[in-house]
Amino acid sequence: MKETRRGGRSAVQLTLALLLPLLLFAGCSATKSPADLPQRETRIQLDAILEHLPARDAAEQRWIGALLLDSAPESITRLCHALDTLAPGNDSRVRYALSGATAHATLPGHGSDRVKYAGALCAALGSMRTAAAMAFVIEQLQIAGGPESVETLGSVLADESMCGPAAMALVSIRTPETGARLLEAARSADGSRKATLVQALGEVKSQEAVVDLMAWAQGDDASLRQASTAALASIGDPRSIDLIKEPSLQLVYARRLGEQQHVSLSEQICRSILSSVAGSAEPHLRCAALRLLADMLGERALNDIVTAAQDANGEVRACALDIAAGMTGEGVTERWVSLVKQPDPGMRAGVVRMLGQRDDPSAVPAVYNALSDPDPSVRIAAVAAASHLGAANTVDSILVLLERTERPDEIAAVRDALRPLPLTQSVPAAVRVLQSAMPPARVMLLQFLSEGGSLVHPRDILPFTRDATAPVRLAAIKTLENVAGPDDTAELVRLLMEDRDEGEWSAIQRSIVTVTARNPDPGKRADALLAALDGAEGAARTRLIRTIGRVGGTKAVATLSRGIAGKDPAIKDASIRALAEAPGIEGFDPLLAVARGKYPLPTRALALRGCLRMVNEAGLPPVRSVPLLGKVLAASERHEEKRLALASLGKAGSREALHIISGYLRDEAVGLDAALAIRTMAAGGEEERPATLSRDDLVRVFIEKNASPKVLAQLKEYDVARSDKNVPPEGFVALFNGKNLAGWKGLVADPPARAKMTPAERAKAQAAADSLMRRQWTVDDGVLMFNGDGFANLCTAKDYANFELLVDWKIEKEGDSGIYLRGSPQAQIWDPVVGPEGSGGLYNNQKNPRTPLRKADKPAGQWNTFRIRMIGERVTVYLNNVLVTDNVVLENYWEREKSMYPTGQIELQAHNSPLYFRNIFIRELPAEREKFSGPLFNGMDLAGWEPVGGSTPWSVKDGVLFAEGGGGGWISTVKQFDNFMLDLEFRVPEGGNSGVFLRTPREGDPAYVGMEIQVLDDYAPVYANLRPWQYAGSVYGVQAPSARASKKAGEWQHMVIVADGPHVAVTLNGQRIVDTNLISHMELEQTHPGIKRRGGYIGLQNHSTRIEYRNVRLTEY
Amino acid sequence: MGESHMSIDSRISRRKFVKAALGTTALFAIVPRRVLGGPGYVSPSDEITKAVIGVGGMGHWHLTEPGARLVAVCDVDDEHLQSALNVGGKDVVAYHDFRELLERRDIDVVHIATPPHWHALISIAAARAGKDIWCEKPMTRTIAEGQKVVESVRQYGRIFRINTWFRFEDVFYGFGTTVRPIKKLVDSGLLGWPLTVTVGAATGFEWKEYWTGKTDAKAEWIPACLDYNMWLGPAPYKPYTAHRVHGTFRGYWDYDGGGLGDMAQHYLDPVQYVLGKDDTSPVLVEVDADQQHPDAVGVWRTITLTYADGCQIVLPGTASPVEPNVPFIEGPKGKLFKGFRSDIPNLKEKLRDFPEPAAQVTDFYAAVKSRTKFALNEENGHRSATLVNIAKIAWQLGRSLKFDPVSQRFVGDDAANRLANPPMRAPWHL
Repeated sequence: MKETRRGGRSAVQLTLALLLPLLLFAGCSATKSPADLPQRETRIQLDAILEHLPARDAAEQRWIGALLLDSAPESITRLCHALDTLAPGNDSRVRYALSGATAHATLPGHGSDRVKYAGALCAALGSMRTAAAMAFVIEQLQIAGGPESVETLGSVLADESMCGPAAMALVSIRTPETGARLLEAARSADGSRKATLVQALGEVKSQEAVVDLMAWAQGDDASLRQASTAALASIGDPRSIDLIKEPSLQLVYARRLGEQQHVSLSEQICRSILSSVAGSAEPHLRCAALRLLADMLGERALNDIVTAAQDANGEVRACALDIAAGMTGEGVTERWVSLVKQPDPGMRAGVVRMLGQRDDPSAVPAVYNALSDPDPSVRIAAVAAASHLGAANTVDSILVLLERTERPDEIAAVRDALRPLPLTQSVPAAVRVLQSAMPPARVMLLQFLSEGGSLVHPRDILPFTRDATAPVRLAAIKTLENVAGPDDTAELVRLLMEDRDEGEWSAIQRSIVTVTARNPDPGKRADALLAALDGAEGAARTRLIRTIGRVGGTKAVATLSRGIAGKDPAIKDASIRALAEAPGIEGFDPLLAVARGKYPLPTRALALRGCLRMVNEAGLPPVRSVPLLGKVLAASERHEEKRLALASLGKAGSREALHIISGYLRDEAVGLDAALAIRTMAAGGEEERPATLSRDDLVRVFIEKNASPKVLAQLKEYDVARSDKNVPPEGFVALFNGKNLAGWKGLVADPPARAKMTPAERAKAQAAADSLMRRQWTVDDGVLMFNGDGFANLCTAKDYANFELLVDWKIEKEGDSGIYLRGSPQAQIWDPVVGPEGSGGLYNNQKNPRTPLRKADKPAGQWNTFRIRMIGERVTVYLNNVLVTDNVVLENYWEREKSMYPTGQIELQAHNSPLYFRNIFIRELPAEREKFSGPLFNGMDLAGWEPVGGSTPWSVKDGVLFAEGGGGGWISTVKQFDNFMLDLEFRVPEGGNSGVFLRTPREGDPAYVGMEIQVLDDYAPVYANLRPWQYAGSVYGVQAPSARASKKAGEWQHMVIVADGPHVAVTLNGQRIVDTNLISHMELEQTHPGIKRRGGYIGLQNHSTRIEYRNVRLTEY
Repeated sequence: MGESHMSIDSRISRRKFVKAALGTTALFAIVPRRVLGGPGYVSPSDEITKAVIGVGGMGHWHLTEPGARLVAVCDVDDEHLQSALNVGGKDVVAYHDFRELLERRDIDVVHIATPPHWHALISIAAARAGKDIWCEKPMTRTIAEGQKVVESVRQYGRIFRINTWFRFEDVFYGFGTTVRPIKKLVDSGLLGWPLTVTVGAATGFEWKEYWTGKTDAKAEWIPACLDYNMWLGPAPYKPYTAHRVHGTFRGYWDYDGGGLGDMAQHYLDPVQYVLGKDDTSPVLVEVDADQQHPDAVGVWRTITLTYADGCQIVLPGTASPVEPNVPFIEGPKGKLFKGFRSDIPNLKEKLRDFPEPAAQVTDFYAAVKSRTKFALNEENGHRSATLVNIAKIAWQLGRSLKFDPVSQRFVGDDAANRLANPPMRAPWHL
């Protein structure tokens, strides 16, 4: 199965080959060699190994690991040095090699390999120079290092940037020498490095550090004090007790003291926390102290727990009871049982609940007693407790409660206790108590029994269908519906014959329909009802007849037909109504006969509607259904039934149906409905439409040709009335007018392919695409519809750049679509059953998130609303007002290496399933700001500039912007600028000092919260001893100039500053002296956050001397 | 020339930001007492206040989850904070540092929706500050972190939940039913014992293979709105690339564990519940995968977790072909397939004669008020996170590992145990 070579590696391979010409002697003892790897005992090149990385499975990984370790230390040293030299991002295979070696060296039982490997890493570390590479090697030691690594790591602790990783590695290795090395380093360290080492001392619980830590814990440096105190707490030495004052640290300390057998000291701390904060609102600290006492003292903490269980604070009580639930020991249960008698019912309930959580059967009597407590909350707790303890007669003891209570919460508690019990226990017990339970409890029990399956016998339920209380009767009837079988139908029929209210009768009817449906022979389902009919009279007979109708079947229809033909008007009427409700198609003919017969209009209408329902529910093919619908339509007198019949015919869709419908296109009363039916037909799936007629034919031509002018006018009015659905909200314009496809076009190829077409080719392709569009996309009733066939996206005629788009969409089951943005896929739309993550994700993203944040879809068949914002290449999507895509970059699907196109059409994706859209509105967002280019300073006044801070030493004279000293301050541009070229002249006097601020906010020191390009008299003696990155033209504190290009004081100097993203360049007097990428200075980010700012104000600094600027020009990028 | 290095507080603008927000809302923001406490239990009408820490992707969901009043949000990215304030309204106060937020006495519950490498530290700090906790999945990224969260929540008497829910509500991802009938079926014994549960594409579960890291990423400019150092927090310092943070952080071991880290606790917590393994862990974990990059997470072929009694959880990954006819649960007496199909005839009828699973506590804020353990809490949540966390180590080391569910340590593998309890970057520590 394995491929012999993987491609695409040649560039890296070359680099490594140059770097690693080492020949290894592989005499390894590993398992079988994968076929394409260097064989054992042959001379191999390290880069040949690297070429195979990453290993494709564990076997290959082991083989390579063994090769590397057998050739250690040379190979390991080489790898470390390669890592040191390679650019980050090009070194991944070296990293695979080293981490693979780490894994191999730490295999259980490979101790000597590990020592050799760690030794090699340590040796290499001494001669490495790159911080990131060293950190990686130290990380390997954190996993693979042992006693042999402590010395090297200890020496690295002195290095400011490696101290953290080395300390972590030492904490992991943790030999007896670790503490001493950390302490030695800590003594000579300062600042954050010292704090790091102090923390490590705490983690290795270094006893020898206690004296130093105690001194540092009382020093001046706040962060060192804090770190030292925390370290002392986790070391847990009794001497430091007075230094640890913060309660949560005291708790850490006390726990550690307890672990080291200083129990009484620990106890003392816990008790002081318990008492000191008892009055204030710090319940969680008291909980923690209590928990610690209990963990340490066990049963000896019982008194504390018992006291806390009666605390005024509910949280403390809950904690105490939680502790008590897990506390073992003789007499403990007994002690708690004695508390069941306390006066406060809330506390009683808590104790009882807790007793249930303890698996001690000796609490059973107390819990059972509590079942008859006068307070309901105690009884509820007792129910839960009793069911937890699960003694032999639990069920009955709990169920007894139902004989006394009508409280919903108590009844619910009993139900929860009943549910998890084996049904063989709970069902008979529930049946036993049914008779004696209070009515609301009876209702609960009956509901419980309705889930009881075959273990519940209908005869146990039947008596309660005649209960004195109505809810019980109703619950019993519903239970029977679930547990009765076809054999019990006779009983149910008997219930139907009894005198009841309408609600119960209809529940019984429903039960009969459900239960008879369990009879596998449809012909026999109505038998029991028919048998009962013989002796039934009056209203009971009527009810029977109605029920017979709902059960249905041939025999039922025959009986009902006889009833219709009979003399008794009541029976006649009931039979017609019953037939109108009957399932199946058998009753169609007799019912249609009624519709055509000499009955009052309402009866005929009822029959017609019954006929329509039968046809619609029967799911017949058009060849059968259309003639039946035609008969109904012909028999209809009222417009209502005609409309319904026309609508059904529209859905049926066949040439015959079309023929029937067209007959009504000139009918003033229902002509509009006929036209709408034809539209429905057009909207239906391919299989539901006359095969030879296109959608276009149906909608545009057929109706227009055949409908009367009056009907056409009605149709137009109808469309206008509905077009308000597509009225845009304020600020938006409608992309879809609700009436036709104006403003849309068909899809021609993809953006790169389109770009390659000649205008003539494109025009031709567009014409073909538009024609396809008109066949597949239609408009009906203000809705834009796709017929579900193929992949012809609908595209806006215009292109858009930045916009906010609103669109309502609807799909069918397993439907799939999406909104293409700037011609690119897409904000995903799909059936949430198929895509459980939901719609609105940027489905085609590979690097950026592609799934929505959460599912906000409505089920297929319902309308959803998208609000999509696209600015630049970022997209935000709200689905049904829920944020599902949060400002995510949309990747360029067509040309993966490029970023998103700046403009493009919006497309509704056709994905071979029917689609519906409406309310498509767009608001174009302003294009990106106009780029400024021109003078920043007008030479006359301070327009465009504002002084920052109180004093305003800046003024203008003779085209020069100047400040006459004025201490420290600066003048800022009014506008902010991100990326630009700034071109200016400046003049400084002897000893003069100023600076040009870039991308700075107005609060804080602009040299750090923004950036400063130094403006200085470099030659002044007072500045003789500056650091290189403080001279003129430097990015102050960040990048020194490569040369001194400044002129003498008093001369005008020309400076050009480019700040373009992370790229900053300074040209002074024609010489490029700074050209740097800020990314390479990110290690300064903590003290100099300005280097990562993307924009801000431009400013000029005034110090104590005069400073002049002129010809200040800016070109924004 | 700039003034002095020492005078610069790099966070000055942030502090002002917080202060300004406080200023505008001081009239409304502070509830003068904690909702909990006082004599007797809290009446249900009492309002719970919450804060959301981490308001990027999932954090937004927590902002609007009903049941408590949002009073504060926290993030290390100012853009996230601003968008959360837009959602939260004018009474919400923004924080940059969660430690400042936790100092507020009027916050009852914190929602933690940061990347996983922060979950444990913030949970522990929240417990110490007396807050109840609603934490995103995965609960923690190492076993040691999980143990410490369990210990802290237990010691400080807090209520804790993990933000996954299939064990008590909702259709079980792509399986087709809720978990309740699956639990009922397993408890009924109709499938026999031991059971093998397969969680993968064929049984309705997706392993998001796109949460993979980049092995060749170059350093990039840190955005001004982001405090990257704080974002990294306890994680080792690595040069910034946009792919490491926000929407794509799951592709890096330092913060999560790829598609496994993202989804496994979501999918496996219900499996653990169904198998009745809430208080234990597997004894063996095996992974078949390509060698893993030390920084960037990849994909796997098969992960197998085996319990002492022979029950197994098998995770076919995206790197293996989908075998369409795999049962979700297979036992000696029967199989259960996606959509609750089974080879046991009339299964639904047979199940009617078995009891329903015990009721669970499924309203978090009600649990907070009554001080009752939530259905999915720190203890069983730690055990389901452990399924993920032991698998990640076997996957990284490229070898099978034995695990002791009682001591929660790997057996005879020092390197694995070090990976289960790695030190944190100072000043952060467990």
